[in-house]
Amino acid sequence: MYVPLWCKTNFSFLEGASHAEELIETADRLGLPAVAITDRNGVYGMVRAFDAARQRKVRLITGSQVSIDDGSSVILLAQDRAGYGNLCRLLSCGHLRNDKGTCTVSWPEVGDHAPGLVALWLNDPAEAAPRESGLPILKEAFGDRVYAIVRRHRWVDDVSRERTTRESAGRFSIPLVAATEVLYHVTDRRRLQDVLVCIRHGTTLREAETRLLPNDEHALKSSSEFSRLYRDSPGLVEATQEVADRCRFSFEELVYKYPDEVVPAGFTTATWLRHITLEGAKGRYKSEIPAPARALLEKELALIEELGYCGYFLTMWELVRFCREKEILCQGRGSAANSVVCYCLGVTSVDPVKMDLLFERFLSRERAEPPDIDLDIEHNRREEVIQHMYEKYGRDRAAMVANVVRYRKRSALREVGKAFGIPEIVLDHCAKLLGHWDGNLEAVFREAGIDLPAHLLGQLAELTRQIVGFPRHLSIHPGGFLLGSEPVDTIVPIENATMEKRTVIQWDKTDIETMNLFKVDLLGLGALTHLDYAFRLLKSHYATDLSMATIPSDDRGVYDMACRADTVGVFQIESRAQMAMLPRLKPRNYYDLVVEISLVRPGPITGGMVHPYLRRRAGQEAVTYPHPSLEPVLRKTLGVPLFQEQVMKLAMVAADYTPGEADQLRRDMAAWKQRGKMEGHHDRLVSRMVARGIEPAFAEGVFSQILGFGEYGFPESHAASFALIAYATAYVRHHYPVVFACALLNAWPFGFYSPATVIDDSRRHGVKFLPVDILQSHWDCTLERQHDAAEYAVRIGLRYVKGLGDGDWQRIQAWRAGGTTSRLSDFTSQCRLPRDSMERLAELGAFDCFDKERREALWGVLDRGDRPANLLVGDFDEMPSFRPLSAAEEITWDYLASDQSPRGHMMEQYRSLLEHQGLPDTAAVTRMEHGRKVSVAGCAICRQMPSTASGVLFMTLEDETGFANLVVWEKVFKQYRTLILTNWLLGVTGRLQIADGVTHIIAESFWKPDFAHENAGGARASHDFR
Amino acid sequence: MGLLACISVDGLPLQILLNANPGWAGTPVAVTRDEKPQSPILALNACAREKGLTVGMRYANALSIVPNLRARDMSADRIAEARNRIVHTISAFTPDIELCPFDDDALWASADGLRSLFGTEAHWSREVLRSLDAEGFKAAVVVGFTRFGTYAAARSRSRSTVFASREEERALVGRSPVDSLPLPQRTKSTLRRLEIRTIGHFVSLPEGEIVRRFGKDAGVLLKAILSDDPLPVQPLAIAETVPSRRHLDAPLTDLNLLMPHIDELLAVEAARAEAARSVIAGLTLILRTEDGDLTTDLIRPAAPTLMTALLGRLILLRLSARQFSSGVAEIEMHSARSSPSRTQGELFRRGGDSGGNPGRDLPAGARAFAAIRARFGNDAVACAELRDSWLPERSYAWVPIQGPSLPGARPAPRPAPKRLNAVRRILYMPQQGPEGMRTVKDPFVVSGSWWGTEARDIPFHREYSFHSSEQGLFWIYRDRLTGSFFVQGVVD
Repeated sequence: MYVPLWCKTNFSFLEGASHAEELIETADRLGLPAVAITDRNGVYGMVRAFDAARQRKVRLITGSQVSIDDGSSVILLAQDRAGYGNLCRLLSCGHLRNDKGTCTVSWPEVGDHAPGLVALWLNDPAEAAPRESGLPILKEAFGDRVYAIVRRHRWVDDVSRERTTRESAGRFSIPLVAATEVLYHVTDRRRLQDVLVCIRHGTTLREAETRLLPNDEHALKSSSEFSRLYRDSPGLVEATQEVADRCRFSFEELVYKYPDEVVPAGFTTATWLRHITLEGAKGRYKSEIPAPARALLEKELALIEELGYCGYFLTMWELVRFCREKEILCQGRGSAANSVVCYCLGVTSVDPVKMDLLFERFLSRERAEPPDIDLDIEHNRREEVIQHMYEKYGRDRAAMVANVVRYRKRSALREVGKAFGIPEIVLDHCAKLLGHWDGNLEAVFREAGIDLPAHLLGQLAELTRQIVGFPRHLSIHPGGFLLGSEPVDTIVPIENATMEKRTVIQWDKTDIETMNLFKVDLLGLGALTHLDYAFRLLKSHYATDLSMATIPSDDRGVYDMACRADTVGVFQIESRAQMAMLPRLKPRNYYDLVVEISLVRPGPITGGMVHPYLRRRAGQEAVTYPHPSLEPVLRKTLGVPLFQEQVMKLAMVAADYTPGEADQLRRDMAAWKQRGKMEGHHDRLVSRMVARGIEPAFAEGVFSQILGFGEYGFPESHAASFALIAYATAYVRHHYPVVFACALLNAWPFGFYSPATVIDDSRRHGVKFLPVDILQSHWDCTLERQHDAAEYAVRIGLRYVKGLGDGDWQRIQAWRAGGTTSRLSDFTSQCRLPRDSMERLAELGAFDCFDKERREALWGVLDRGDRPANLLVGDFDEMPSFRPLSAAEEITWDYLASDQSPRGHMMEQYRSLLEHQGLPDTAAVTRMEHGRKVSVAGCAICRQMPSTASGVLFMTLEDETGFANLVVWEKVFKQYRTLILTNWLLGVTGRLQIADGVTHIIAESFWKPDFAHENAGGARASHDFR
Repeated sequence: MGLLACISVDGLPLQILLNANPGWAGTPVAVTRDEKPQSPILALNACAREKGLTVGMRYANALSIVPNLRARDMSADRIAEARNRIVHTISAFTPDIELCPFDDDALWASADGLRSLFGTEAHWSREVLRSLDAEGFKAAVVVGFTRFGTYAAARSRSRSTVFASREEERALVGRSPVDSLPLPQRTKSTLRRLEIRTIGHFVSLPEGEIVRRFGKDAGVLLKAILSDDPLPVQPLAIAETVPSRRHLDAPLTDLNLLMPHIDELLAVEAARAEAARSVIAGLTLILRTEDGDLTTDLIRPAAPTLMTALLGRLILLRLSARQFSSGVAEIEMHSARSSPSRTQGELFRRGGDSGGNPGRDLPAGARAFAAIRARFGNDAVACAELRDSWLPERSYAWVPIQGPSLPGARPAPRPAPKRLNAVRRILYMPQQGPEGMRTVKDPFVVSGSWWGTEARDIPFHREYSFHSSEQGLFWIYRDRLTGSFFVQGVVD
């Protein structure tokens, strides 16, 4: 028996050709007692290997092949916990001194980190390095814990290398050990390994030549194969077992301690948490803390203390406090909203007692997982919070969690195809034809015109399938932080990210969860930025101090607006699909918004829950419950289970599940198709329900519902958190539309619609917009009161001028500081903006303040040449005459230069022509009767083909009066596909469908309006296929 | 200046692509800049345009709109080759051709004095179009009085126009869109926005204003448009590709009788080359026998030359080894030409070193190489170059060389691959085993080319080892795919 000591998984990026699980499974099948995973410069895949190994009872030896700065490398294996920590620190050292993706350490550094490690010397000197470089240091630092590897890959230089290895080992009295470099679990994977090499080097299989390994001797060998390979030196094989026996470290030993927050004297973390929670509760509940809330508080605090999570909650409290001090809007989301402690700490904003949420959805004893709180932060200021984390905890105790970017089918096809030498253009065509992954890649290749013999098409297809799911590289999780009371780099190596000032660990969130480590998620949310800007504008311009906490709740006008689906720009309920649902659901209170947000998701739609709920809500169907005991659970959703928490409660109420068991049920529901874990739950649930007196047929029905639920369950707490923000943005929109629009334009990009649609919609609500003006506009949009106008108007900011950058804005500011002028010539000569910027400004009419028509201004700013001193730029002796732009042209030019126009809608200019043709505007369409055939023209601002829609395209056309929502069946889409996809100005003919207050046009045909060609350049942005 | 014609072959890369793929006619086709999905589209056929695609769009984007779009990039070599064909075709109709300096797809040709051959300019231009059509090129031909006038008309017209007078030409140019001007797209876009839509409007603007806004090139163009254009067409030196040919009334097998004919053709070729102010870099000699057999020989002198005696001698060397099965009935000769240049190396290479040793006589060496090539074939002189491969026989290659070079001039040798070169393994002496027998180590294995697309990519799996026998030490491999043993070499 032997132990393979030099194995690479596919987390040796583009080098190893097998998953860790495959290596472990093969080792198990071959009867090998242990396996050393030694990925290059990291432990990226170690958690996965650990998880696989403990399921199969193969002992995992943790190690890494570490790159030395002289070009050679060494394998280090962890003997014990301290050794593993040293390995992580060494790797961190090597990574942090280099750019992302590179790691080098020196031999002395290896020596410094020797305690607890076994070193395997490779005799693989780089060209510039002396052959035995590193050996003296290894011998001195590792003593008898260093071995020299005798490798036999059946390469041509094996014999000579072995001779020199033996000589060197003899000189330094270093024992020998047998090892082959394992790059794949079975020989057949050699082909994929070749492809990975080609990808790494950016070459093709034909041209790679000796960059590919010379043979396929790098698979995991059986004991008999290995022994035969070293039959002349059986001692080397025995030495593998000796090495393995010395390396007893296991990931089970990793005990993680969350950092303790600094607490005031006289407090422990638990008592401090209790103190601030109760203080927070007083603030939340104003007078007496209600009994249910108090009971829950005590229960939660006890459990938090029992599980040792106090520090985590204190961290979240401190973060929120930091945000409040800096006036950064933030709000906890997700399952944390189920916690009354989080509510009282100010981390979340939803009262879980009032909402009757379920704490165990967030935390439970049985779950054996740390809490996971996501904090939404204004997206423009998230970086401040991240840097605060680094400053507070230090770079060695705070690092961001990685995100493993993996090959998906299109990227797999492209990369493997390139290795085969297929032109990228053809591969791209092929990738687009992939469509649904039905496995028949060969047919796709043929259709794309990939000209390869049949057997190669088969290989291409097979290798493409194999590489799907392989890690490509590491990036950063959007906001996940790993914090440790001890330096994190003793748990997992830290390396530099691409983004400046960011460091990232080598594990992703799945690994974090497997290892029960604590992660803090800091996520950017554009809607919070929007609200922050709105609140500031209200304060500065309206002397109104509004905040999330002080916004009046249950404003009737807000809900009226929502019921009308008049919600452009409102968080979570502005999309086309949401607007189609709002008039049907008719939200009248906060909880209705919670349901509204949850209902328009793939899950409830495919789960068949939407229509029953709506029918019951409309009184068209009786509200019934599977069993009286379930009424309290399902009452608030009219007997229709919509939320994960409801299913959990259902199991608790009907089948006596403990809360922890119910949470496990929730997790198993989500994964039931992959793992088939629901069978166990079936027997338990049904039998217990029957035992409680529920009819078997009912019980089976409930279980079927639970099973179907697995596809779509949505957390109620998450929707509840979002509904608060949705209501707040709706409130601002309803009461302060000018502020709403200005703040949204400044917080953009985010949300569903383009700035043009936001502007047009706001204009329809009476908001006035002022165009870009070189003397008046700031970088952001601002509120301006013109003359004696009662209300502010929104001045479009310079940020919306195409191509204008921050540097240009600095120059304009500097020029303004020197005193403004009324002459274009002064501006062009003094404020030397780039030519492109000048032209865009001229085209936008930004120089109207200099009394120059746009074409004149354009002519003027183009003049960059030297002139005689007595002839000033802009003062033209020979000024050609230019026709002033018409109103319609002005709008078109606005779009060309800034993708929007404050002056009017594109369609306004064609209205008389359309009326002449008998074509109505969209507002008129909404007043027509159901079933009527109608033709209408407009700008396409949305094209969506949801995966749940079975090939149906949903579109929205916009004109100056509003929107027309279209339903385009697959057959019609295919017929008019090119027209639909390539034209932003479109006409449609179809039949009106009006149901539950929602109007759609069922499209029958599309056409290009006669005037469309005149606007070839002024395209509108569209929300397409997202 | 007399009449001249502008011939414009619009969208040449697209035309080349469609000519190469006749099955693509009627389907959407695009030419991209590179062979990459994000490459911009440079040209589209009408079918693609009808589907809403536009030039400048990214290929991947276009493909998402028109899934059956076919696209390829177009190499500069192919375009150059096509242009040469176009020039060659037109050269049959005019003695003087001048390339357009600002539009690669246009040229001017002298149209003076062609009535005697073609009757009218209109007939002449139709014949030009017909010939270009036959070569697969769609063009426009405009006969007129000025370069720019004919160019502007050719860019905006479809096929053929003959201006009757300068005034007519001027009037049409004035009406032509600014889009036909050889100006950057950005300038044209700005002019459109300023409603300067016609060339007439453009030239009405003050020159100084034009230059200050659109650059000196725009000013030069303006002048060109306005000038009377007195210079005649500046003729292009066209490589004469019409072969010298001689049909023999009585087929010959005797080389002594054949050579005089060949010498005469040589003289013609040399004269042509000299007339074109160039020298002969190589000759293609095609001999057709009365039985219809064809032999083709490429003769390359040591250096480009006009010395017919030298060239003749090389031809004689080549043919002297040949046996003709039947008499040679036709001789055809093409010459490849180059510009004459001083071989400066000759000035220095004869100098020798400071120690008084004579330098190497490189020209003599080159001549000797040429003679060897002429006698034994063009690949007769070669040197070995290391190649990057695991297979021993592919780890080096014989590469033909033209001539000797100074040591310093030889490119630095490629660094040997890190893995030891199998060629050197021939000299490796493995350890002796007991009783003088080879200790046969586990064989080393090379395998690869599992993707096997072409003859040189046949999959292989070989297990190499050394075996001694009375005959010597053999380097042997077992081909696992066939089970057979082969001798790779003998250890020296």
